Amino acid sequence: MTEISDWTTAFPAWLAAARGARSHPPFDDAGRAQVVANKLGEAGKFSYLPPVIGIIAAVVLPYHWVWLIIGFGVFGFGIWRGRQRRAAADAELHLETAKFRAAHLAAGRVLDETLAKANQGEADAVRVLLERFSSRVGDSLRGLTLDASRLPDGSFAVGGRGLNRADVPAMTSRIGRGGRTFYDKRKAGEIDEDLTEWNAGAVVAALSAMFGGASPLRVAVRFTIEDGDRQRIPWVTLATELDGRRLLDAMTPAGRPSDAVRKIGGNAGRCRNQRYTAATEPSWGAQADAPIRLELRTRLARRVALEHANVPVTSDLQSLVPTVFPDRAAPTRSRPTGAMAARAAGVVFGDAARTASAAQPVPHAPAGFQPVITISITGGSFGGDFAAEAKKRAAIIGDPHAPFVPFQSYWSTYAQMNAAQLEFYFRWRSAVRHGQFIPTDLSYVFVHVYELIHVIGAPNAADAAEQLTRLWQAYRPTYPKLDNYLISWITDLYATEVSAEAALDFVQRHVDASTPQGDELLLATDPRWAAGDYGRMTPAGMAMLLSERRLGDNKFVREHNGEVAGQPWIEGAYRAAIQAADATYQAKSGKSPRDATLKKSGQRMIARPAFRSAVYSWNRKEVKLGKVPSLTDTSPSVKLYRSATRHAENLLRKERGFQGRLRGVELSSDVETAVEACIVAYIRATKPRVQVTIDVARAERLAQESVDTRTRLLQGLDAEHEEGSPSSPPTPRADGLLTDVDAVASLIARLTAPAEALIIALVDAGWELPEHADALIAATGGVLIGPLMDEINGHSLEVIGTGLIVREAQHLVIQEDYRDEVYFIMRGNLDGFTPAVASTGTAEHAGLAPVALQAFGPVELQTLVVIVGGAGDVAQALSSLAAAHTSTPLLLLDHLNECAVDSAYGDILVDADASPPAILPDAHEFVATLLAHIEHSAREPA
Amino acid sequence: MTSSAPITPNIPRRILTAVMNSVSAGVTPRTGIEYLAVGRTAEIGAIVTDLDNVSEGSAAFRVVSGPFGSGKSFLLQLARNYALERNYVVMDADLSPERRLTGSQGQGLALYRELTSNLATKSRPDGGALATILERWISGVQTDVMRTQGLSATDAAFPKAVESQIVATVNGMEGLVHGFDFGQVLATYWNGYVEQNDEKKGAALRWLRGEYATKTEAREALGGAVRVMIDDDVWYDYVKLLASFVTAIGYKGLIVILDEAVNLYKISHTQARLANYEKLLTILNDCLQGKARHLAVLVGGTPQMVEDPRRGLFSYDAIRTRLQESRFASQAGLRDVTGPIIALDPLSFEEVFVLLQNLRRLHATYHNYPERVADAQLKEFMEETLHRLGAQRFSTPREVIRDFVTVLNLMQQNPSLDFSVIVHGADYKPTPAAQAPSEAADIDAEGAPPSPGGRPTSGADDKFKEFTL
Repeated sequence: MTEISDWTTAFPAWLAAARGARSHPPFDDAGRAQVVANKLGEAGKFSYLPPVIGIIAAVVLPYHWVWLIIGFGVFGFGIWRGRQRRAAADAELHLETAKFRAAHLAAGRVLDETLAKANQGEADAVRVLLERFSSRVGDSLRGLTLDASRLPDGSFAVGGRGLNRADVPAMTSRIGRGGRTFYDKRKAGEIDEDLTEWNAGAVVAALSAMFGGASPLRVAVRFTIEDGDRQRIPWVTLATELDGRRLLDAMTPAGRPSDAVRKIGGNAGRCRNQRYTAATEPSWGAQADAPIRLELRTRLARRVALEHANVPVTSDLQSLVPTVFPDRAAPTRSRPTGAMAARAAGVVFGDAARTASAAQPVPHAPAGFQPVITISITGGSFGGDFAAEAKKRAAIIGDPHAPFVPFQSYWSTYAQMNAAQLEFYFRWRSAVRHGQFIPTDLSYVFVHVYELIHVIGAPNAADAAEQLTRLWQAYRPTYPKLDNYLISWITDLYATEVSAEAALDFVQRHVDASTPQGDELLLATDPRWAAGDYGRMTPAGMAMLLSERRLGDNKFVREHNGEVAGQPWIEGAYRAAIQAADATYQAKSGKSPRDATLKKSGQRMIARPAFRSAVYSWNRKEVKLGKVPSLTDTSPSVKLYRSATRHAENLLRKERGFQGRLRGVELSSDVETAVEACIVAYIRATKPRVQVTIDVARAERLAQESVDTRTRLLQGLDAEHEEGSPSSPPTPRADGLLTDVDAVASLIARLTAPAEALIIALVDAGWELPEHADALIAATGGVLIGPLMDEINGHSLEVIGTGLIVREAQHLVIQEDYRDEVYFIMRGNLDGFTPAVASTGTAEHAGLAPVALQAFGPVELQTLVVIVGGAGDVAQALSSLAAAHTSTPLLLLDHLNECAVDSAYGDILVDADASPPAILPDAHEFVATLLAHIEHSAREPA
Repeated sequence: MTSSAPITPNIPRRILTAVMNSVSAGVTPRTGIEYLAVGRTAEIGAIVTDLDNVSEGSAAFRVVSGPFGSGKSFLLQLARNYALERNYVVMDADLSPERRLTGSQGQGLALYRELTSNLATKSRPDGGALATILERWISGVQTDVMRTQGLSATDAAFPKAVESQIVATVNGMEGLVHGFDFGQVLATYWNGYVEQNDEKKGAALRWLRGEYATKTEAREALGGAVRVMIDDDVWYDYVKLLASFVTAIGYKGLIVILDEAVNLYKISHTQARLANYEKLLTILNDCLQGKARHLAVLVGGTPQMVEDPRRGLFSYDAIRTRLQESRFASQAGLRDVTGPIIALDPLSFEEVFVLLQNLRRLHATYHNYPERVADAQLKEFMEETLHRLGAQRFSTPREVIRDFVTVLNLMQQNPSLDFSVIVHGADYKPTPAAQAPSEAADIDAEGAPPSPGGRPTSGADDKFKEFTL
C-alpha cells in the first residue's frame, strides 16, 4: 500500500492531473525531429575500415595498387549503401511522422469533442474526463470512492466516500542520522487538518476535471466519511453551478482545498480532537424546487453504467485510460465489449504500470481486491413521471399475503422499489385505505403521501387531505419526523386544491397536538398572541415569540422542567413572565409589545411554493397562507420577552440553587419588578409546602445538651452571674457567709506572693489602708502597688467577675462582699470575723459604686479621663500617665479595654489604633455614665 | 408538641444586651455566643478539650468539615471566643487565592501577614495585638524584676536587671528553629523600648509581621540584628515560635484558625495544590507528633475539599491515611470526634427549633415581657422560612435568626399584632436565601476571585460569614 501523502504536496499534483485530464498538448515536433534525426543518422552510417585495410595491404604486400583499388572501392560502396538506407528511412520516417501527427490530432479532436460534450452536461463525456483524471492522479487518491450521477434535470449529483481519519497516517517518516528512517508521531491537529483538506482537495480536483468547462453546470456534491462510530457523515457538500472560471478562481495551488470548496459555495466538514463537525447538507436553496439529497447507490449505478456505456472512444485514447479489471464473477466473454463498459466496472486509481490496452484481457485482480474507486453515472428519472406512474398504479390492490420487505430511500418512488417491495407496498396501501395502519417503513409512507398530494387515490383534494391527515396521525408516533413534512404538505394541499381558509383551519386544529415549525406555527400562534392567550400557546409558539429555536434549551430547563401543578414548571414561569411583561409594557406605553413590533417591523406574507421537498410532478403553485408579524432579534417584543423569560429563569435557578445565571437581561425597572413579583408568587404557588416535623424528645434532649455545653463553655467565666446555674451552685453556710469561698480561694491561689502580701496587709489593717502606707510598702517588699492591684483585680475579674480591691480617696479597700471569704482563706477560719468588722471602712460608699465602676481600677479610670478629656495632647498625657505607672500608653489602653470587656458593658471602649486614641462611638453613652458616677463619687465626703 | 420553655440560663444583662443587639443586626455576638449554641455537643467538647490540652503544653490539629451552612464558621468562632476569654492568643485568617499555605507568588507569606494582623487577645479581640503582647511582656518583666529583686523603676540597676531577664527569655527561644533571629528581633524591640525609639520598635514589629520584602531592607531597618526575614518557606516556624513566646510570657497558648480551606481545593494547578497539602501535612504532623507546643490549628473546609479523592485532601495519600475516619466508625454509622476531622451536618429541624426557643426566651427576658410565641408558631415560622425563595433547607441560620428576631421585635413594639399575621402576611418577606457557593463552578473560574454569588469576601460582610451556622 502506498502511503497517503500530505495534502500540501498532493493537492498541487491533483490540480495538475485535473488540468491534464482536460487538455491535449500539441504534437511534439521537436521531439519527433530528434527521433527522426537519430534514426536517419543510424541508417546512413558506413564503415571506414576498407580503405585503411587497403592501404596497409599496399604497403606490406606486393601489387600495392591492386590493394588500394580494392580497399577504396569497398569504401565507396559502403558510402553509397548508407546513402541509400538513409533516403529510404527518411521517406519512411516522414510517413510515420505524418501518421503520428494525424493520430495526435485525432486524439485532440476526440478530447475536444469530449470536452464539448462535457460542457453540455453529457454524462459519458464527464465520465471520460473523470477517468482521465483518475489515470493521472495515480496512487495518491487511493482509498477514495466517487459516484457521479446525472439527474433528470441535467444537473449532476456527485457522491462518494472519502478518506476516514483512521486512514490518515499517524506517523511521518524522516531520514535521520546514518541514513536511517525514523518515524515521528504526528500531532492530532495535523491529522485532523489532513482529513479535511485531503478529502476536500480530492473532491475539488475531481470536480475541476469533470466540470471545468466554460458552461456552468449544476452540480450537487455529497461526499461522506465515517466518524469514530462508523456513522456516515457528510464531509464535502456543494450545490451550485460550476464552470472552469469559477473553479479556477477558487483554487490556488498554495491555498487550502477546503477554502476552495467554500469559495464555490460549498461546505467542508471539520474535525478537532476527534470531534467531527459535518458539512451541511447540500441544498439548492431558492433556485431549485427541491433540495438535492444524494446517497451511494453503487450497485444500481454500476448496472446503469454498464447499460449506458456507449461513448465512442478511439484507440488513441487507450493510453490515457486506467487499468481495467474484468468482473471476476462473470465470464469474460459475457461482459459487454468496449473499453468504456469495462472501465465502468471498476477503475482503480494508481496502477499506471498496468495501463495496457483496454481491449486486451488482463489478469484477474488479486484475491481480496476491492475496487477503491468506482465511477458510475446513473440515468433514468423518478420525479417527472411519478404522477403518471401513480395514476397507472392507483387502482392496484395488493396481495394481502405479500411479506414485508424493508425499503429505505430518499425521495422514494416506484422506480426505486423492486418487485417484492412493490408487492408489499400495494398490500400496505390497500390496508391503509381500509383504515389499517400496519407497521411499515417510512419510505413506503412517503410514496403514498406523494400519491395523495397529487390527489391520486382519492376522489377529491379534500378527501386526499383527510387521508393524509389520518396517515400522518397514525404514523407520527412511530416517525415523528413526519411532522416536519406533512403539516406543510397538507396545508399546501388544502391551500392549492381546496381553499386558504381550509388550510388555516387545518393549521389551527392541529397546532396544539403537534409540533409544526416555521410559518404554520407563527400563523397559529399569532391569534393567541394578539389575544394574550399565553396559557394555550404551545412551547414552540412561545419559542417563536422569543425568536429562538427551542424554548429554554439549556441544562437547567432540561433538568428542572418537570410537571408542577399540571404543567411544566419552567414553561409555566415563562408564560407568567411574558404575561407580566406584556401587561406592564402595555400599561406603560399604552400599546402591546405585539403592536410595537408590528409598527416597527411590519408584517410579512407567508408565501411559498407548494409541496416543497416533495416528489411532485406538476407545476408547484404558490401558496399564500396569510400575514404574520415580522419577528427579528431586534423586535421590541422579542427583546422584551427574552429578557423577561431570562429574568424569570434566573429566579427559578436561584430557587433551585442552580449555579450560573443567564446573561443579557435588559429590563426596565418596572417590568423587572413586575416579573419578579409574578415569579416569586409563581414559585410560592408551585412550591410544595414543607411539613416541619419536630421530634419533641430529641428537641428536649438537644436543649439539655445545649445547656450542658454552655455550662462547660462558660465555666470559670460567668458562672457566678447565672443565678441558680446548675454547674456552679453557691454553697452558702447557714450563717450566710462564705458564699464565694471557692471562687475567692481560686483567685488567691493565682496571685503572686507580693499580691497576696498586699491582701494580708489590708486584712490585718481592717480592710483598708492609705495607698502609700508604710505597712503596704513593707508587706510588698517595695513592689509598686499599681501593678499588684492590676494583678489582683485582673484575676478577680476573671474569677469572681469584679475587682477585689478598689481605690477610694487614696485608700485601698477590699470589697465588702468578699471580706468573709478573704478572711477565711487567710486565717483558715472565721474566728474573730464579725459583721461589724466587715462593715467598717467603705460601707458608706458601697451603695454609691455602680456595678460597672467596680471593674475599673484607678489607673484605667485615669486613662479614660485623659482620653475623654481630649484637651491638649492626649498622646503626651497618656505617656505621662504611663511613665508614672511604669507602663506604656498602649498597655494602659489595653488594660482599659480589658476591664471594659469584663465590665457590665462587655465590650471594648477605646480604639487603641486611632491617633489619638478615641472612645468608640457605641461606648459614648456608657463612658458618660461611668464618668458621671466617678464625679459623683468624688463629690461624696470621704 | 410541648409548650414548655426550653432550659435557658439566667444570662447576665450585659451579655444579654450584647447578644440581642448582635442577632438583631445579624452579626456574631462578641460575647455570649455560647448562649446561641445548639447541639454540637461532642464537637464543642472536642475543641474545648483540645484547647485545654494546649494550655498544658500539647498541640492540636482539627479540620472542621461540613457543607455550606452546617456551622463550621460558627464553631470556629465559638472556639475563638472561648480561647480569647481564657487568655489564649488567637490568630485567624480566611484562605483565599491570594492567601494560601504556600505559593509561588508569596501567598504563604500573605497568609502569615493576615494571621499576624489578626492576632487577637482578650483585650484586642479585633486583632492587632502583637504590639500589645510585646508591651505586656516587657511590663510583666519589669513588674517581676521589681517584685523579685526589690528594685524600683528609678533605681539605676533596674534597666539592667530587666534587660537581663529579657535576654533570658530571648535566649530561651534560641533553642527553637529560627529562634535566634526571633530573639534578636525581640531584643531589638526591647532596645527600642528602652531608648524610646519608636522607629526601632516599629521595625521589629514589621519584621515580626513579615512585612519586609527583602533581607537587605530588613537588615538595614533592624540595624543588622538579623540577616533573615520571614518568607513563604519559614512562616510556619515563626508561628510555632510565636506560640512558644506567648506561652512564655503568660498566655495559655496560640490558636490558629484557618477558614475557607476550600480555596486550597480550588487550586487548579496540581503541583501547587499538592504543595499546599504538603504544608498542611507538615502542620498536622507537628501538631499530632508533639513537635509543636502550646499550639492549636483549626481548619474549616467542606467535605468535598476533604474527601474528594481527585482534588481534595484525600488525594494526598499521606494526609488521607492520617485523616480518614476509621472504617469501624463508618461501618457502624458512628461519628468519632476524637480524630483530626470533625464532620458537621446541617442543622436539623429540631436544632433550629431549639435555637428559636432560645431566642424567644432571650428576647422575652431582654425586653421583660411574657413569652407570646407558642411552639406551634415556631413550627409555622420554620415552614414559612423554608417556603421562601431559594430555601431548600435551613442553610443559613443567620437569616432565620434575624427574621425571627425581627418578628419578635415587631410583636414587642406592636402588642396587638399576632404572630401569624406577621409571618403569613403579604407584607412579610423573609430574607432571600443565600446561594451556596459551588466549588466546581469556582474551580472552573480558577485564577479569578470567588464568584460574587458566593460568600462575601470583604468589607462589612466579613462579620456576617462568621455567623454562619
